[in-house]
Amino acid sequence: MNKQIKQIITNFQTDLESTNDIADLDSLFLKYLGKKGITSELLKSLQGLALQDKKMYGPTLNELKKSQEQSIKDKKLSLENEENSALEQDLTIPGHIKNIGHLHPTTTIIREMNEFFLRQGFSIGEGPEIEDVEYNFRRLNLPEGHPATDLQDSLFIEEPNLLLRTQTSSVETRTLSDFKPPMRVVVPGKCYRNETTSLTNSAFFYQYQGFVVDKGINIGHLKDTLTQFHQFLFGDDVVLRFRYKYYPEVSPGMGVDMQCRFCHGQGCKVCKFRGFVEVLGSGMIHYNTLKACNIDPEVYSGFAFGLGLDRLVMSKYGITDIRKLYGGEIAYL
Amino acid sequence: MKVPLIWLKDYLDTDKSAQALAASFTQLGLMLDKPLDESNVLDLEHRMDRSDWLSILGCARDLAAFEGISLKYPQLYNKPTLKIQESEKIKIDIQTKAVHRFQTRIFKGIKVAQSPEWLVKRLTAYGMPPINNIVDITNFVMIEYGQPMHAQDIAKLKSPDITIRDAKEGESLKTILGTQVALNNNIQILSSGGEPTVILGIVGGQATSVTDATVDIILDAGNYDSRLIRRNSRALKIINETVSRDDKFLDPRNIDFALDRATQLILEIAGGSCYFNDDYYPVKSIAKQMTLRTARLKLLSGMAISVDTIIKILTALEYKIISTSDTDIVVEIPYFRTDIEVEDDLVSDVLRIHNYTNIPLYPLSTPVPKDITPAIYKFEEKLRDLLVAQGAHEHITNSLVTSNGQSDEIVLANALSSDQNALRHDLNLGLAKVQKTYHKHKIKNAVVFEIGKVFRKSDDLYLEDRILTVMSGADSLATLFASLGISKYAINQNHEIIVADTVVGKLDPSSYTLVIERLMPHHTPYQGIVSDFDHTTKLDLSLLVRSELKYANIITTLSHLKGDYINVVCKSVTKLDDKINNYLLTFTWDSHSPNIEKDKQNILSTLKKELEIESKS
Repeated sequence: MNKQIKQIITNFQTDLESTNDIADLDSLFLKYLGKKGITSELLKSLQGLALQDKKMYGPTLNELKKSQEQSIKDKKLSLENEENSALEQDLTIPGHIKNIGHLHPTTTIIREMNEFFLRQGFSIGEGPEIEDVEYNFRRLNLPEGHPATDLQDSLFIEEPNLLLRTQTSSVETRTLSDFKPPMRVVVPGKCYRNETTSLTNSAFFYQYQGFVVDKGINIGHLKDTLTQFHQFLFGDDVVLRFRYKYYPEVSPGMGVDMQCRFCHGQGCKVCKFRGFVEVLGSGMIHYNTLKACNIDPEVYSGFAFGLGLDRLVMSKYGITDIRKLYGGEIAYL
Repeated sequence: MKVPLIWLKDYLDTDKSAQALAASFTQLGLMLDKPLDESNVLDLEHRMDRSDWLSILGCARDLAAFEGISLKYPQLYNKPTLKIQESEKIKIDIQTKAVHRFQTRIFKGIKVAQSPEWLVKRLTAYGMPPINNIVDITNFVMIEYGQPMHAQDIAKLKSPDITIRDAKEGESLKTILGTQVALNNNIQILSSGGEPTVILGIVGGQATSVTDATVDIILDAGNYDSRLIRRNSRALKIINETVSRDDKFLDPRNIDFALDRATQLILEIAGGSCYFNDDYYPVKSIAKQMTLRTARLKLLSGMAISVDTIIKILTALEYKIISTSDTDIVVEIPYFRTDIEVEDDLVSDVLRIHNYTNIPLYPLSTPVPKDITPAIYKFEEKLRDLLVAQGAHEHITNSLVTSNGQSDEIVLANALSSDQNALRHDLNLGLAKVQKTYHKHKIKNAVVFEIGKVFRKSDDLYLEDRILTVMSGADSLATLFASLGISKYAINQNHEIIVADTVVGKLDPSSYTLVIERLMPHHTPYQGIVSDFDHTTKLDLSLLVRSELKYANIITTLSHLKGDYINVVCKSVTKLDDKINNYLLTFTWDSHSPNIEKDKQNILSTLKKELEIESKS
């Protein structure tokens, strides 16, 4: 027995010295002190010995067990310290990135826009995605059969009255009908159209709508708001072009183009050689729209604008396929 | 609308380049849609409102006003037309309300041949292949005046009549392009001797078309219910130059100008003589008057434009000035401006010809109105921030999905594709697809979430619920709730998430979903900040629980106890054997509580009594 104990002590010492890894220490523990470990087995074998022998070897073996446990513990501590002190000593080693979450690019753009408008005293408006023709078309000055309905192919839930909203302007008519002026509101939201899905078109897409109704609002206020907004998004050197453009829900209507930032108006592939890129549609809220929403157009006037967000998001993040943008095929690196 | 420069310059004298003219058109409302090339054809975006902008003359008129130059009008036939003998008259019988006006003229002894070069050049530049002089003239005048017209060979009519009526089921017509079109009683047609010859306002038939052998023709120009033309053309899937004009609001008075122009050209180019046949025009169109208040113009524009300038602009746009004062300008609206509805449309006309560039900028200066942002919008933004802080990625997935036949599913009435024909019922499907993509690209352990609407039908109601789904487990939920100040919640045996007796969501093996509207009232501002440090006492209780029981059973049983402990969490669950699991629960008390030992005994005895749970503690 003495011989055996001596052998274990020597072997353990050799094993311990050759272990330089915390994980290997665990294996060492199992080898000697696990249920079927060498030291444990020897301890168990005491049961078969005479009482005298038990008295003789018992305390020694228990001592050995304790000392081995302590040795492993100490070695573990020293290895950990070694590791830490090495890291502490070399401050040139960069750290490891912990998990970082990200917002969807469309949310990021919406927040950027909201930041500007909230600062200008705007609220954020919301409305249903399943919409009544009344709010989506009629109160926007689009009577049944009007040729301009061709500008938007609708996805119907129940023809002819219930559809998926084709534009965030439906939230405008709802807000105008539900609240009293003055109001300044922006509406980011999902819209739907009956279009075949392609690289750039999807049956659902995002729009950003804004409107202001108060006494004495004119088209100059609209021009100024949109100018500031684009300067906020793109910098002070942004060049905008304001021109007449028809939209059924506004009169006078206004189209807004931004000078191409790649060619500075000279014409290139990006702007399809136009020098300008169309950015949004806008205008003074139509007399009939205000009236339909129970706001007296002789007392109040207002402006409205709307833009598609997806193209903006895609160009900002270099995404070429809208299906990837909303199909989960974007990774956050 | 395509405007060939060569054609445009028939109506105005200008040295400006195509590019410069395109810039002016863009500014006044006709944006250059396609890049210019050497063909010098301006392709301008038409916005469906102005029927006169589907005519080159109409485009030229606004350009002339914008450029401040005069407009040259085409030469019209200005002699009285001859009266046709009763025996040679073609009887017109209108049997439908779809026709507002239908005028016919007969040309006898014409010579059908190739068109002269100037005409071919213009039509070709526009993109219309020349056919013969008669067809070309009808096309030319349609593009010049925006009024479709149609010529038929009298010799080919089955009988000396043109009847406009609803088609009958089973009737069909071979169009000039040779396509056989099946008709039905929703479609209106022209017929002769009972045989369909033309689909009203849409396309002519081959049987009565004008050929080189034609000598006598009947030329018609009509004004129809644009909504019917729109509906019929879409149903028949025929969209052409005629349809794109007839489905807009045209004024019946345009017919007089267009027919006089066509008459002039036919007599000039094909010879023969012209006879008046018929003019069905039951309700005459009358000129509308409108008042433009200078104060209204100033209110909407922020500019004081002089009355003289206003009058100059309106006159150039062919408004007839009825009376003027410093405050009011009364005008008669020209017949071709069917788009003018309200006074503000006159303001638009003045501003766009005056050029939008000249409108000054004014900062918003009225007091900031009340904030009406819905609380739920702000709450959703908070949820996004909290989840991103956990390291989760936000995604937005398609709301349109493939129908799965569920009874409360909302199916679209006119979906374009069968894989996107219903509204989503949950967010799991879209997010699972995202995870699959991530796994494919070896991105593992990424937590994804979406905040969005899901849809369902309940009786006759279409409902939208705003939900959050996170592809993660109970730890993420616990962290989120802790950040929202929701300290007490439970998950019942159906895996529903309960806060203050309300089901706010559901936990699945790989995700959890919260109904935002139900969750929102329970969130509180973070209140974990203290300046006096409280100390707590924690006690671990080791419980031997039969395997058919769940944690929810323990919590439900304990919920009836009145104890001082402020919190309980499950630290671990270890399977001892097939029948028994060992649950290690940590209870927390305020250190000052005098009832810790009493509570402990109470907990253990209740669990033993109610659920036969033994304790190792």
